[in-house]
Amino acid sequence: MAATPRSAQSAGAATPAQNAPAELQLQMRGIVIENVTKSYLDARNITVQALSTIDLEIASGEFVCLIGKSGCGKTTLLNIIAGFVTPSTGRVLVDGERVTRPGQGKGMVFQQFALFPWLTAIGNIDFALKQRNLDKATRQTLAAELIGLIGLKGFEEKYPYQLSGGMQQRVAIARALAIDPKVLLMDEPLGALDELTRDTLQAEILRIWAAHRKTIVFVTHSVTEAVRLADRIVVMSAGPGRISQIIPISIPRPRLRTNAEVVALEEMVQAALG
Amino acid sequence: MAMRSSKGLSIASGSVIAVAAWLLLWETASRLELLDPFLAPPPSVLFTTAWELVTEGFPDGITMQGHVVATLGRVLIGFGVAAALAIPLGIAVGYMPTLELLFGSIITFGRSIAAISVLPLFVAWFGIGEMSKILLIAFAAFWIIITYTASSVKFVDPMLLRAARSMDAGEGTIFRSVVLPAALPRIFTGLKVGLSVAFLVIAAAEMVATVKGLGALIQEARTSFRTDITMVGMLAIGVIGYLTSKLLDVLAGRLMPWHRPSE
Ligand SMILES: Nc1ncnc2c1ncn2[C@@H]1O[C@H](COP(=O)(O)OP(=O)(O)O)[C@@H](O)[C@H]1O
Ligand SMILES: [Mg+2]
Repeated sequence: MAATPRSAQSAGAATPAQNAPAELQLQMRGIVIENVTKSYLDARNITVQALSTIDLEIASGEFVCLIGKSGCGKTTLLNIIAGFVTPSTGRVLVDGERVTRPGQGKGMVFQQFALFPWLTAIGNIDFALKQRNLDKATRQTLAAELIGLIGLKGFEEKYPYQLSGGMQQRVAIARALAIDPKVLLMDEPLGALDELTRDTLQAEILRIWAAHRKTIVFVTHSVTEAVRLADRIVVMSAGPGRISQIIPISIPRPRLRTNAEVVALEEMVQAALG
Repeated sequence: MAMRSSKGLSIASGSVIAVAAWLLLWETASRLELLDPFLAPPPSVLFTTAWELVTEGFPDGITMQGHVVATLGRVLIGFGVAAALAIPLGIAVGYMPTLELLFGSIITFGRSIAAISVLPLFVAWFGIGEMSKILLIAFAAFWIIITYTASSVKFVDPMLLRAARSMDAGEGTIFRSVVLPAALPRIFTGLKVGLSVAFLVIAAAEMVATVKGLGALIQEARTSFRTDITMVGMLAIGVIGYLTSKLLDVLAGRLMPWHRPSE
């Protein structure tokens, strides 16, 4: 993936940022969420405040987990970053560019995979590559690379219905990476999978992240998952949705549950959730 | 796969046994005059009648083959006309909210008109020839197919659209490469239901000014009190309805190898 045009571009864009003052650097790379609120009109036209003021900065290459009880606005916040939902106030910048719509280098991974059922594993990945207007040879090389990355060699020509849930989500991750995204936004991506598959995929996601250092915003309601994955855990609470605590993690990976520090941290996050 | 085919085989042999058991029960009940042999002729009589229809024909020497060809021709042309109009229109209506606003209620309205009730109008407009018969079949199938098609396009899984938008796919690409393939399975369901409706109205379509066709055969049998012929005609409609529907299944399997067969 490193050899793809957009990577080269963003690497180039980083150069002026390095000469800029520290404050501006923060603005240029990663995600900046400024003063974001969101109110919905419910079915009876009554205003429901889903998010009160959210301010959050996520560094480029950082792995952030959003955790919180159901209904506290995790999906709303992620969809605002993704450009699917317009905030009522405030703005979101991704690598210094204001989010106005989906796309523009924001890779998505959904809980229900959202693969195109009529395309094979490689067809799904190629769909993403086609949107980048790459020539066929380049697309083939990149698709093969991505299939290798997610460990699905031999399953290229399978349709989604022929793949297990875990395999489907691997394809979906490869498809999201195929746009060479600046950020990966994942909404409970492992929520529909069984315990064992979830465990393997957590390790896979960490491996892919370590290799590519994409900025990841990962929504979960599993404390164990958040503690295993994140550089920082952003704890949200409801009524209205807000950030109640931010917990940075400095324990080196892999974070095994035999490690007392890991267990203590899990208890701390659990307590923060209330 | 091995398990699936052996299971399929046992289901097939199971249903053959069930059908044989029913026929035997029917035959016995009729022979013992538990069933009136005129109102419910036994299978053995129906086989003889069917053989006579194939070899000698009824009425006026029109053979079973002749009836089947006439009916099949009308149904397929009427169904084809309906599909050719309803699929593109349904896609447009399902895709464009303004069109749905304009035509949504017309579709609901049209769907609730029983085809047989417009027969007198069609005869007045298009005469008593083939045209009114074919158009009646087309009319009945049209509303069904357009309803399924419009909803197939309207209710494409929004997550698929979001996935495509997150990849910077433009509206044209989304329409061609997401909306249409996503709608295809439900359009096929609409075609299957539309086809079965086309066979349902065949009796009405062939009610006037013809003696050729399975619907006409049933009408003729009624006026000559031949319940056996009515039943054979009925069964023949059922059989060709079943076979054409299976043909659509095969076509669907070819066009959508990605579609889980059980769905
Ligand atoms: N489209 C919508 N219309 C109205 N209310 C919504 C909509 N989406 C979310 N909400 C409300 O906003 C709140 C936060 O929802 P959500 O972001 O889905 O929470 P989470 O993902 O943390 O479970 C909930 O109270 C939910 O009912
Ligand atoms: Mg959610």
